[in-house]
Amino acid sequence: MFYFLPREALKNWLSEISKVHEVFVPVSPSGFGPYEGKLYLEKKTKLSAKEFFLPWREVILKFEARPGALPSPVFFEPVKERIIFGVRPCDAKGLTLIEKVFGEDPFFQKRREKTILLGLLCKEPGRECFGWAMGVNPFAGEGLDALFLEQAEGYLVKLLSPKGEKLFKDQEAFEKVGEEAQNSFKKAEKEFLEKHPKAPALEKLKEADLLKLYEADFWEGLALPCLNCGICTFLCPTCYCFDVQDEVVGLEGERVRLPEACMFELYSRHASGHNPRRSPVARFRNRFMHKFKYFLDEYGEPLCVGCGRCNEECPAGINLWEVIRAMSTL
Amino acid sequence: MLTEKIREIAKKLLEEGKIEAFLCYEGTSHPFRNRAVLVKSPEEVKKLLWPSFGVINLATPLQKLKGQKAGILATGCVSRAIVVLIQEGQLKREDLFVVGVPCPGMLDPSKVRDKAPEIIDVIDDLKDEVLIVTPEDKIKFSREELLRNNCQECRHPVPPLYDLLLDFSGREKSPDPYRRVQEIEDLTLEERWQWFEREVLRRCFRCYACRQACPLCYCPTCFVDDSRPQWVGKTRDLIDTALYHLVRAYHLAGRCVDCGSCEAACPMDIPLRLLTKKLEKEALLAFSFEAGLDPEAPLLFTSFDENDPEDFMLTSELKASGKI
Repeated sequence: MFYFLPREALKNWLSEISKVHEVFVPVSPSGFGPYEGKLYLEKKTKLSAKEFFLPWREVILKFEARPGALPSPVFFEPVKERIIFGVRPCDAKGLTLIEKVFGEDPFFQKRREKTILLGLLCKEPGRECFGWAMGVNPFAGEGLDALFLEQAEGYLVKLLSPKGEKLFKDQEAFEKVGEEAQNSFKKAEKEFLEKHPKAPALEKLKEADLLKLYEADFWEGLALPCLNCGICTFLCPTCYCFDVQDEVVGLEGERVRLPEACMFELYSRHASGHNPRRSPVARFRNRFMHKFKYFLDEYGEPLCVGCGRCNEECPAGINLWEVIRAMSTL
Repeated sequence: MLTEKIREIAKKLLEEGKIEAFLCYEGTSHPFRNRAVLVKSPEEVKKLLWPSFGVINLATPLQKLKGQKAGILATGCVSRAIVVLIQEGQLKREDLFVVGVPCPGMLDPSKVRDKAPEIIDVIDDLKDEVLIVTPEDKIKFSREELLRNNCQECRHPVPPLYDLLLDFSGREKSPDPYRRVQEIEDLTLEERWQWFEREVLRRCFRCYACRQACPLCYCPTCFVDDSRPQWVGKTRDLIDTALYHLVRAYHLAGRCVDCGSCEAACPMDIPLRLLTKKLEKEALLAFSFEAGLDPEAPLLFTSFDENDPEDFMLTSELKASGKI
């Protein structure tokens, strides 16, 4: 089903729904925040909406820090019903990829259940975007409850889930639209897909021999400029690796889960002190093998939605495509 | 022009077998990013270029090459970082062939980025002007405006250590290196804390790019990564983030060469350099010390002079009351 929202009605509508729900929007080029009148929709934000589902600090258990004390049952941080508006389709697709791994994870699932995700299509692909090459069709709106397409006069809204339908059932600002508008959506989708094909590299990567890739001699050269910082992993809408830490103040202990990066030496260091990915090049290789071989072999899709944040923000100037090219032409 | 000179000398050094590899920069598909590259044969030198956006100090990747006889392109701050690394026993002078350049300064990607919605190319004359090329137009900017902050405030554009110095006229010494530090110093204590919280702590998400980019952050295990015992919490708790940034800066006191790699690497554009610049100023004013100028000289923290000022050890109250 499709609706239409006039452009000037957007902010009013966001204020209206803010009275009933918690509403988050992109507030600056850096990222999302609660809606308080500020809205940044020009480009995608540096930090994706991933942080609403894999937060920077998630308490998963509480305990009394004394010998013999038993921990509490699993603890869920209270999450209110919330709406996140302005999520890019590639980022929402990223959540569906994370879900393949976190499908059974109660913390992630709880946050998913409580959230209505409203997507916004980009007017133009950004400089470093390549979502289509990774097989992402932004018009499909995977992972979203509704998708907004900006047009001359306002936004055409496509409903994508029962949650989305429920939300829009009684929103006065939106008018139902007929077949003509729906066709304009389909036309825009068709034009986009014709111009933006899937990369043939993915098929080649599926066929590539895992061990040969692992042992290839290009890794050393590609990894030389890499600083092994965590920028790419933290900005990535699909990177989901985490750490678990016990934080104790006095007698009060909390076990927290937080994002971690495979680029860090500490991430793969075992309790014994042994580290299977001790060298920086081994950690570099692992990130790309995970995204473009292990995950691809396991789930049939790469762990990448082509948002291009890594290419845009890598301080060392590493370009993911050069890595994919090397991997797919071995 | 500088690019040709670099290629020529790299080729010669490789052909003559004086070095096994040459560490420099290459271009990328991104119009305002350069990338470190290591070339091992004379045929490869055509990749090399003078980087207008070589914002990550080459002395950082240089440390991956231990044991190889390597040539390296060195501006003032790269050369100074090498000096500190030699002083601290991290590099061997005889392993290196340093090709120095009197540095014209480099451009700041975050200053260039917002000049036009779409930028195809950036043409830098290395003197006065930068042309930003868009699909429709070429827009002219003064080079000074687009320079990195640390280049604007650079006290040593000419490398203090080199085997060969390229013939080029770089920038003059900055007459006013501590203007931005002064602006923060002029705030009240409370305003300074607010600045630190707003500009640094609330924005940092602990990716550690500042640490990783720094040529002088080479501890095998950083204090934030220690787990037995664990000194610092690892989430975005403000106190933990504050501890990370303060200790990082203090570990660089008397060592930082102000190459600005930390700030350039930061994805959130946090003005990290101001913390280390403040400590650089302290070292200069209190001890007339500047890091990385002479590989034979002692380090700030390994030297003592009876005439060193000691005011900072004593409280002003004691002094005022005449007890000391």
